[in-house]
Amino acid sequence: MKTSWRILRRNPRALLGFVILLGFGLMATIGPYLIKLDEDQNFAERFQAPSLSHLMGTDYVGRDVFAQIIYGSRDVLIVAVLAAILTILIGVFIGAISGLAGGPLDTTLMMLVNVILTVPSFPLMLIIASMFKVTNPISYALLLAIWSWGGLARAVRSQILSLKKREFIEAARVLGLPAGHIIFRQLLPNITPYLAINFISIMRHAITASVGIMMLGLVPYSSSNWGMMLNLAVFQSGAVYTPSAIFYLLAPITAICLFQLGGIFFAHGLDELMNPRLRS
Amino acid sequence: MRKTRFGSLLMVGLLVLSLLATACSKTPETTPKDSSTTPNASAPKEPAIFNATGNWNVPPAYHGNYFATGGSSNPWWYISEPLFVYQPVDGSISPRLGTDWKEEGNKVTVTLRSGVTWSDGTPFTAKDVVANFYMLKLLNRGIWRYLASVEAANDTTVVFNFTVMTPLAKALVNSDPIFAGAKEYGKWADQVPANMTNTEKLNAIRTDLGNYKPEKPVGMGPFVIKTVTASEMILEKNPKHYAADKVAFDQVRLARANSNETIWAMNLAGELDVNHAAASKDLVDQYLKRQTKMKMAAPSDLSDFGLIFNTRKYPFSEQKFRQALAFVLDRKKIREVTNYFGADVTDYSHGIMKSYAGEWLSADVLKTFTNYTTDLKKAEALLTELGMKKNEKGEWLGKDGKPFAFEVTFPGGWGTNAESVASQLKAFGLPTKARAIEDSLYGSTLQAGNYDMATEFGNLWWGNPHPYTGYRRYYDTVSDGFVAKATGFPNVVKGPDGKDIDLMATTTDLGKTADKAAQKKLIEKLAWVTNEYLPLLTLTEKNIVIFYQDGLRVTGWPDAKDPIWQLAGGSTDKLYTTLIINGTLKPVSK
Repeated sequence: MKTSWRILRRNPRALLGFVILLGFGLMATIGPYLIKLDEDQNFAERFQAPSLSHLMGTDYVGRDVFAQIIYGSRDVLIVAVLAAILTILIGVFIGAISGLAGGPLDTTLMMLVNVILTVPSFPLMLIIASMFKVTNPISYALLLAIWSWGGLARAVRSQILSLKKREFIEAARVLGLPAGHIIFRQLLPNITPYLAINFISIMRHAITASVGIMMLGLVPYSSSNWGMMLNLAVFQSGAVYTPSAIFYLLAPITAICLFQLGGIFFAHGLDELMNPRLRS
Repeated sequence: MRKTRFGSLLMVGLLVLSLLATACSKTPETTPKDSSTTPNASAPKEPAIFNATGNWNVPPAYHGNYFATGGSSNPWWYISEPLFVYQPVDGSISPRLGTDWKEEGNKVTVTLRSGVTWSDGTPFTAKDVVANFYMLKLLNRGIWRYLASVEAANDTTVVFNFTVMTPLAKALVNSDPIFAGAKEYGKWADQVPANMTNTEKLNAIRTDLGNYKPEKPVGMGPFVIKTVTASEMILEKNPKHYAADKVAFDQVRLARANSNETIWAMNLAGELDVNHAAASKDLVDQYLKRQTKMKMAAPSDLSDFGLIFNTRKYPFSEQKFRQALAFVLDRKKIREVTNYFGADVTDYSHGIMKSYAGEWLSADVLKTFTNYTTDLKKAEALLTELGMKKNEKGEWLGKDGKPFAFEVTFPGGWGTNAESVASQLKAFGLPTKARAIEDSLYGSTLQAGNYDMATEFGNLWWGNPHPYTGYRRYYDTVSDGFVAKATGFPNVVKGPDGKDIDLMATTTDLGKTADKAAQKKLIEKLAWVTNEYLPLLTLTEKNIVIFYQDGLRVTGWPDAKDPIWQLAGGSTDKLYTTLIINGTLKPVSK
């Protein structure tokens, strides 16, 4: 823990990323207790500029944008992080087994990956939407993850195929180290930086994909979801063409960008943490 | 290595230079030249173009057969003609392909204009009209609920034999242009009369017809289709049109309106002469600020938005609960945020379009109806009567003491509507969330009863503006009855006099009654039931907001209050082509 903190402190970019992510974490956990989300609509107060009473202005029906961003961060952190974890777990599991085992199992798993990558998800989502309603964040995240792991599994398989021919893996095998040790102590640390970057891009994808899931009716509609805020600003309220709506439009964009930036910066530090060769 | 670096630097340099050159170059004129442009006698005459919008299947899926997938979305009102143009405001008709309309008992005789030809040169005759109406049977058009047969008495006389003289006769006969002539579609139309009740045979005809995919449609309208692309359709003036001397435009250029955002940008740039893409108030303010010649008209769309209740489920099964919700909702506020340019409906919910209600329901009759102007105290009293009470959080509990958790279901794009309803109910102490349903699943979800409340069209009078059209959608479960099917509302209920009313039978009787006094009696009953039992609460009347550039390239637009704008309800193209054909719209002279 101490070593991790020391490494993080020495890497300003990673530290900044950590601070940003921590800020979002606090926003999602403590924010809703401090700021009240007033859903009452007041058309006369729409698209107001930032002020003391509305720190980020108001939306197209006069609701406070800052409160929406704070409440929306809960969706982002819970659903996006869970979706990213599940995607990574499925992708790494399938990719690692495929790459290590080779032979018919590899062929079968890659066929499955091809199916996931090529089957259009929309008609399947429609069928799911007509049969089920998602009731908790885990099933929501699983729904997002189930279509996202294919590409990652392929990439992990390629990494494993390359790594397993390296000398240090050969040496581990010659030494008779168990498979668990080779996978978890030798192979996985080498692909962790790659997974960290993927983790961030999967989270960003989950934010935007959650809008589609919402519009299919699989989960209740939430106008404070950042992706939905962006969708409403661009496609419903015409905020793109309305100068007074600039703050409403920029608020979710800034939140998404900042969250992603924090993730990227933090991943940079994670890279150093996982890979001793990068440490100065 | 050095050479590679030099090459890379050179490429980057060129790229930067080209970007700079692009940035510094003069921006091309985006706003078309207006009427003040100086004429140039030596220059060839520029075609007069009418710029509007359309939406069609993009090539190669595009073709000219209305009856097959890919062909129905052609701009039919530009390339074809109706027999008459029906004006919903006063129920009058004005001649187009037909010149005389005569009603005798259950028979309507229409005299056709002579000298009309199809764009392929074939003369237009009564046989074309007959073929067209039998082809409409293949589309299950509503007119065939009342029509027994159509005959050609001679080349210029068509006889419509109705089984009952419906009050909608004029509207139904003229709701579509004539687009399926005998020469092109006779092969299929001729098979229909002998198989009117043979569904299997009719389906076989439909299947065969679906395989016919002509490159472009043949019509007799003021324009013919010249080119079709994924973004634009060009129509050229039909020199053979009977009113070609009055048609002042050489071309119609339709931009494909596949999304509102595209049209918003084109409107802001002043590229369209007319369009009706839905826009927020702020966006409209931007249009009017940037495009000084742009004006807007907002006639009724002949439709209204409503909130339907799933009467199969408690507590929506309770009439008083539905009434309480009607008292809770501030419908003016909902209209403001979801349909700014629409018309307020803040009192009753009787199933007749607000702007037409005065014609059918007198003030004395309305006195017997419950007025649902927002009143939270009345709502609380009704819920208390139902044995409901509030908990310490201010949330209402059901009879069983359990808190409610409702959903307002909505189709894609109607989120603001549902959210507005949900937020008002939540503020009153009825926790409610909005839930979207994908468009293609929406109807089946409602009819299966998998919802609590849902946003839906109430009336859809497009083309047939009469209370019967609305009540058919509400209660006639044989031919439509969407509202009754979706809400699970019973067919027989107690009327104002305490006697049973069979809603479907009453609606069917209304459709068979030509006498206006008798119609009023039936309408009063249906309106009372609709208002008191509330299977659907009307939220707001939809207006179709039309933006037009007056004097930029096109001039002659009628005043925004002129009743002729009402032709746009159901089809804006019908309005535009009427104004072009009668010579009202003209290009700005240069």
